[in-house]
Amino acid sequence: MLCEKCGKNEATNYYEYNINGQQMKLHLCSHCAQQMGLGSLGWPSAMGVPNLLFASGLAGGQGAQGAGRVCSCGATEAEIRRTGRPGCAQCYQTFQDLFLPMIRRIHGGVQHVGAAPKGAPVSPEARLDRLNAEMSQAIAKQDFERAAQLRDEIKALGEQGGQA
Amino acid sequence: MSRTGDMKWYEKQGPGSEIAVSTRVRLARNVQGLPFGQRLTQEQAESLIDRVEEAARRAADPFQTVRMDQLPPQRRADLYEKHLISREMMNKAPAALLISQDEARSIMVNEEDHLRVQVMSAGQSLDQCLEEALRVGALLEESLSFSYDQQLGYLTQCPTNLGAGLRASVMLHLPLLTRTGQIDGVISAASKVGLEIRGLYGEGSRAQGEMYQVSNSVTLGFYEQELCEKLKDAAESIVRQEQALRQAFRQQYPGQLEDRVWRAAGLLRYARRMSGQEAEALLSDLRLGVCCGVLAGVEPCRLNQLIYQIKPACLETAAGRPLEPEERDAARADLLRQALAEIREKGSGE
Repeated sequence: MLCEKCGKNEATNYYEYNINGQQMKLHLCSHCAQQMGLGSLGWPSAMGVPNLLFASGLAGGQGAQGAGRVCSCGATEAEIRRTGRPGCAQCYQTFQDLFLPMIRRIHGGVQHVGAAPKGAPVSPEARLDRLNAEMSQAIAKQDFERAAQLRDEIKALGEQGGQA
Repeated sequence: MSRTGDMKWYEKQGPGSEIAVSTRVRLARNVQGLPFGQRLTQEQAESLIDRVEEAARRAADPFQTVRMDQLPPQRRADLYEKHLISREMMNKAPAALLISQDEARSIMVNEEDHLRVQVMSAGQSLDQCLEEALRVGALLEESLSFSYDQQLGYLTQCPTNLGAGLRASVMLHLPLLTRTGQIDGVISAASKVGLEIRGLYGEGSRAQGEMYQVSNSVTLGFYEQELCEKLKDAAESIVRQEQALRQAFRQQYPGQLEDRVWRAAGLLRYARRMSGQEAEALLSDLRLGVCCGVLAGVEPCRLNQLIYQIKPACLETAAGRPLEPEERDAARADLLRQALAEIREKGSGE
């Protein structure tokens, strides 16, 4: 069997992973395995994961829409397919069709809910989630005054959503 | 988190420090309008260091700036051994480390991401470390705009860090899980719930001194607090397994653990030459002995410091010059003899 990444050398290494419940199998040559940071312990390093996910299907020239695209930072589609790494923040937008499936496989989802810069636009769902979490925390800390404030905010947000 | 006194964070005693050695929380952030690290020009990288320095100064956080290209290799290795910089960063220029007096808070500039805010603390203290890291991140944000997307969260060079950009880890000392081979089962179970268990120096490193880092591998789609809570639960469960094994072993093989611990103590107290690997193995036995109440006269936090102090670069920094391997082994043995001179049987001479 040929290496699933380079498609040139004989695959000598076999890897099986469970990433967030998804079983993955990979046959690689020793050169590609080393390049992807797959150690002797048999699990991928964080650096190896994107490469691994690209190697296992994405790099095969699927989704040929706009092949040959170039981002404003100079990163080309070929480079992105090879490395699995963006050249700048904008690349995530430019090559969204390549990144989103990979991100979903790494993280299990593609919607951020945590901390955000001040004034950053927040989706109503994320805002509701955040307020609910804060309210639970306030209740756990027995800060009932803050919890009541949050409850009112949640209610107001719900009413806004209903009107929209 | 104390900001007073001259003590370093690793000189302090932390909660649950019998098994949980230390906690680290790291946030990855990138500045808007600049390409990611690999594509950054020399000038952009240089000016980024100045901008982060300025942002930290405005945040009124007392950080000292250490530029990598101005440090001798041995001092850079020392920072790596203390987990303050990554292996890649040791040979990177222009790159800098902004660091607080107690070494608990630091910012790596021009590592894989433009900024990596790090907070470290003794024992298991995920909540405090997270709070502090988010506080530092928010303060920097007052002067710097970070790349952020409503859907993908904080945008990072590696897609594995997207979202919260958060990597939280707890270092655990797991000698019994290691020796019984049960650690393999723990590692594979952790991988199924979005956690990762690695050796002392992370990616691909072996578990030196039977120490493991348990960290989150997922960063997108969860609140920072949720990620830390999950990690905390997992770490507590692993600690309970280790404790149960320790107890069971002592019941099943009475006297064996004591014998091994005292042999380690004997070598550590009297040897005149000691390799790093031997010292790590013996310190692991000694730590087990102290935490199981076999011997007294040394605090777990002193043993935590020794983990770093016996490393080659740290010994060289203390000596103030490069050391030949033989000299290093001698310096290591001297340090250990002095540090462990007070070891005694638990309950005697107290």
